[in-house]
Amino acid sequence: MPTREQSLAAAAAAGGVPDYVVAGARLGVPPGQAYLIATGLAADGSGGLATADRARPGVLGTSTQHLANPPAHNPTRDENVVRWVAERGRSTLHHPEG
Amino acid sequence: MFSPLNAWPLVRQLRGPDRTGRGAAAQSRRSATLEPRTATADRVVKSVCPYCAVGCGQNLYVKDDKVVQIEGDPDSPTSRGRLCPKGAATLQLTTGDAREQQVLYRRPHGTEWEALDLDTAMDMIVDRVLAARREGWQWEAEGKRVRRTMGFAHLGGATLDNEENYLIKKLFTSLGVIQIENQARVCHSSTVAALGTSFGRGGATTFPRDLEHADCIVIQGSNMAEAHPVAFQWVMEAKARGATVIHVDPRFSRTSALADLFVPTRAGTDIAFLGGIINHVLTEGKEFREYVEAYTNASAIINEDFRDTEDLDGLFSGWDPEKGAYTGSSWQYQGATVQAASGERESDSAAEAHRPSVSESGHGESHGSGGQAVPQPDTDPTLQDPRCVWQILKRHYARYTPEMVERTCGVPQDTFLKVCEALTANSGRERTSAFVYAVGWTQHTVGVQYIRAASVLQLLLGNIGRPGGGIMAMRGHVSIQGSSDIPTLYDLLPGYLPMPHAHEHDDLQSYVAADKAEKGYWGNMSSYTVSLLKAWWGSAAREDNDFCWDYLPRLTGGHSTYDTVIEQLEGRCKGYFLMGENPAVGSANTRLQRLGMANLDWLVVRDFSLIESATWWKDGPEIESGELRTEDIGTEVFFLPAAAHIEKDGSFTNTQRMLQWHHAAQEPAGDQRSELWFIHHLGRRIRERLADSADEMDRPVLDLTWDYPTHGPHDEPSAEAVLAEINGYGADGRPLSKYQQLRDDGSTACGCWIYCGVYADGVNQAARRKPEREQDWIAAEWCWAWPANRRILYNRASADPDGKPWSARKALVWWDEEQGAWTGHDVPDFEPDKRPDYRPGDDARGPEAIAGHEPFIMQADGKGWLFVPAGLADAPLPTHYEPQESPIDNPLYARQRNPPRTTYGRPGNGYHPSGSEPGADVFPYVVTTYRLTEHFTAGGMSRWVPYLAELQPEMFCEVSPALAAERGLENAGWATVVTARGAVEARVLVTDRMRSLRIDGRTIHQIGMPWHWGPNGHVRGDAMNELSSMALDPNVHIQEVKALTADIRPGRRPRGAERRALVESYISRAGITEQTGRGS
Repeated sequence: MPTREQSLAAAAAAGGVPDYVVAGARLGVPPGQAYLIATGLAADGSGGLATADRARPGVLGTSTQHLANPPAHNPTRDENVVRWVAERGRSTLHHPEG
Repeated sequence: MFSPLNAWPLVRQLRGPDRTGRGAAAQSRRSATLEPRTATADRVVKSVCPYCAVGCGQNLYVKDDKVVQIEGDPDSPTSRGRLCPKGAATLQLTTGDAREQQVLYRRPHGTEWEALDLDTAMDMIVDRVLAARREGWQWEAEGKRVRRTMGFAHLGGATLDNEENYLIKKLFTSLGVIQIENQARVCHSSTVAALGTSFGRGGATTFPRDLEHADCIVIQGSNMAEAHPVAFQWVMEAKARGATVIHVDPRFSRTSALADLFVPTRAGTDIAFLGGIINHVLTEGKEFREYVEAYTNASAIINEDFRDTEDLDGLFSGWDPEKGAYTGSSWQYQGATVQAASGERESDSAAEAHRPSVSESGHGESHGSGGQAVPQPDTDPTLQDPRCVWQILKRHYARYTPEMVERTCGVPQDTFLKVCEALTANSGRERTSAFVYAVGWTQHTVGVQYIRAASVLQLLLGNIGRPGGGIMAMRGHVSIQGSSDIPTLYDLLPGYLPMPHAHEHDDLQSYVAADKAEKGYWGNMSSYTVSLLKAWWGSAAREDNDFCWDYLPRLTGGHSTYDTVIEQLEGRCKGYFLMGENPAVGSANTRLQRLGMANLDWLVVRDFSLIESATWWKDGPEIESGELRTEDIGTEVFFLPAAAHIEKDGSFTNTQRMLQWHHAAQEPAGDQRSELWFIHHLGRRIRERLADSADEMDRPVLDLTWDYPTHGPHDEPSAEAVLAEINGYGADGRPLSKYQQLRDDGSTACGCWIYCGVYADGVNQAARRKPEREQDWIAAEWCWAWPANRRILYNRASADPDGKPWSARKALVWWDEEQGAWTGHDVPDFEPDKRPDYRPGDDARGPEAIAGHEPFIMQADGKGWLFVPAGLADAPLPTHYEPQESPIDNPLYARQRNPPRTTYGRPGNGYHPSGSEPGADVFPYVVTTYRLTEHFTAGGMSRWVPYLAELQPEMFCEVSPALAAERGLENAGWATVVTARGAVEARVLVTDRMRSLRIDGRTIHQIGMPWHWGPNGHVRGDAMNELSSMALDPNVHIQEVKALTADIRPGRRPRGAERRALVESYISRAGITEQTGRGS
């Protein structure tokens, strides 16, 4: 099992924002586990994050669920609906220009 | 080599690397093979908790198209990953074995359920709908055109999606049904009328997360820590930052335990308490003077005919004792012509005679997103004129002294003054305070005025529209806000447009002209209305036919859920749809609810499990008592199993007006279907059946736009397409971005104008989920809130009249001179480029008539209303009246009860004598009701869930040690609570949490009762609402269940016919008749 220092170093290896996908691949552990080892915080967000925790080394300022969870399903656009509403508008509404 | 010794954890610990025993050494062979359910999932579907209206984010973990685990979504800015016990039990609710999967049918006079296939059931329901509709059809009523049916009714919607509510309202309205209601009537209808008239919109002015910025939080009429525990984290955040938290309640709870100050009070006296604080503010000069002068109607002069309760000993001017109603013209502004809630038709002399019917209609909810039409009144900016609102306010509240508060509420004066000091010290330019309430305020015969009292106070203290301020209405069902906005409510059309009343001059022009405002955004009411008609009737709605205005059925008075029960009892309402609501447990006077259903021809229940409203005919209390016999009941009952939120797409609108989308993660099993499916296919089948009809009554349903695309194995209609219709679109087919784009020439369609923008750019804005850690506290990119994605309403008031923040500490939005625009953290609740020094010309109308220093843009005068000159049926100023049933005489006025409240004098709904009236001592104790963390409303979503049932297994009542001693009650023993409506039994919890109070020299005992139980489910008990009566607030027809009187006695209640005999003996002893308690 990698140590905290190893996890932090691996995540920081690419420079910039720590990358735990890279770290996990390099260390042979799942990305979420690399994050947990590095920060002491569960990547799936199941632990409470106090304000002080956000200052820990390696903690990301973004959501970390993707490190521990399978892909998220949250579509925000359905082209079929966009086409349907376009047809509804054109067929039922009065065109002001006549 | 395996050694049994190694199986011992201690040996493993000592021999292995884990010497401290924190990890591997503590693991058994079995636990070593286990893995979390989340680990097996192949995707995470974003969703929302289906219980209360906090709207916590949920992650649905899915494997092979089956949900295997449900957890909190840490990205949610509302919940930050937390779930309460109910939310944490959602997997069991949705995937457990308590959900029915097959349609069940009870034939008339049948004694058992029978299986029925879904297709046949749908056809049979179509038959019954068409027959009942025709049988109850009315072209005219009281000599006026109504074009409606009284033949059947609908109840339920607050647990459903917005899209489902929309189709329910659309289909049933097109069929001429007016008796369409949901839980919002019985839970928060008071909120809409109170906040709507005070500020312009009927929703909470703020959002739970912003409570973290409050310097003082008063929680009253709410047990937030237990009823809305996840939202309560923001109160705790505020406390951690130094805020003072105050809890005012009849019962000590976890909220009290976490507050800095707990104030025990008598149930039903909150107006006296809040009035006392108002008086303290006014007499001590603690108001935020600049805010009051600039942003409220304090300077407005009231009509010289106005008389206050001070002048008429508890009545306002305009009281008509024969009609039992106020004619409110004397409450109006001087120099302004006030239009009544339903417009010109009710303000002319002929219609004035019908005003009681308007108040009976509970019309106070209309304009829940906007105020009444009022031109500019005469004003006195010095606030010295004796007829200005400020002076009237001072006179009105002068008698609400600390001594009077103590006499009325039982709150010691020093405790009361601590509240006053905390609240006023934490309000003003640099500091803000917030109020949080729930149904402890709404469910009274003066429910609207409870919330109005807080509104008056928050305006005086300058706490509206500012961070850390506001009034937070905590709603109890996941989308009860949505089912008010897109109303399955009889008196409203979508977006708080009023349902039209029957009238002789009934066309679209007169409706709009009568009801629209000359000033503010209600000035565009014709655009909202025509766009709705175009959304519903498409090509058929043309200018030359008044855009099908005549297709809308008309009201002639009250048609609330309680009026519907009377219609059922009288045999006029023959059919009933229940969708996710359980009136046999959750509505007041459950016995009359069941007797009403026993008088129906047919009943359709759609729910997860066999709730009491589905099974009363075979195992209800009246069967046990012998009052009804199953074989004699002719009601035909269809039970259709419902789909859960994990099985359908759709949006919920939470308590902060925020629409949050949830995605389907699996297909429903067996006959389970969504309400969207049910209504869509019911409508499709009805339209097919009527396709060849030439009958004029069928035109509205045949002309409906009902072309929603479907998908999947069950032809599920597209919820997103319905959302797109709700949002609105233009003639070019593009979704609209904002309601300012709506037109009244037929070139735009919009199903709910306040939701316009939720589908802007063809993007489902309600599905946006930018993680909370990547945004500020406003979290504007998490889903979408009405109106226009604003999170704090009236936020123009966070800046001074010149557009500068009142203080840097409380900055929210402000005028940026360089940009020539309003800017800040939130979406400005103001025209973005309207300068603070803008002043409208005399000919300005609509939004243009709002000046640059008037933050309440939905109000016709741009002001927050301390005094309500129009729109409410009972009072322009909150006034303390005792509850319908009270052990004491009103200490403040000669009038005991709210004079125009709605009562029903009929057998089974008898009211108790109060105070010094003969017989009042038969029911000497005050009962108040509440919910528990582990159960949900009428129990349909918790009593069948084993985790939750185990946590709260039995109905109980809480009594003080003093009351226990007085009545011989033993802790954990049984007690029977009796009223003139019923008798229930409950386990006794003797606890100091219930305080006995000294009121006017007397000791008043109070009894606390949760209301979740009923005879069905894993955990069973008597329903508290067997005890309650139908006594209603006159504005919105909400029932009074937070304060009533009762007797309590040791032991279990009688069984069989003896139960009713016990109730009758109490009625006899108290001398109750149908007229008891119906005077003022």
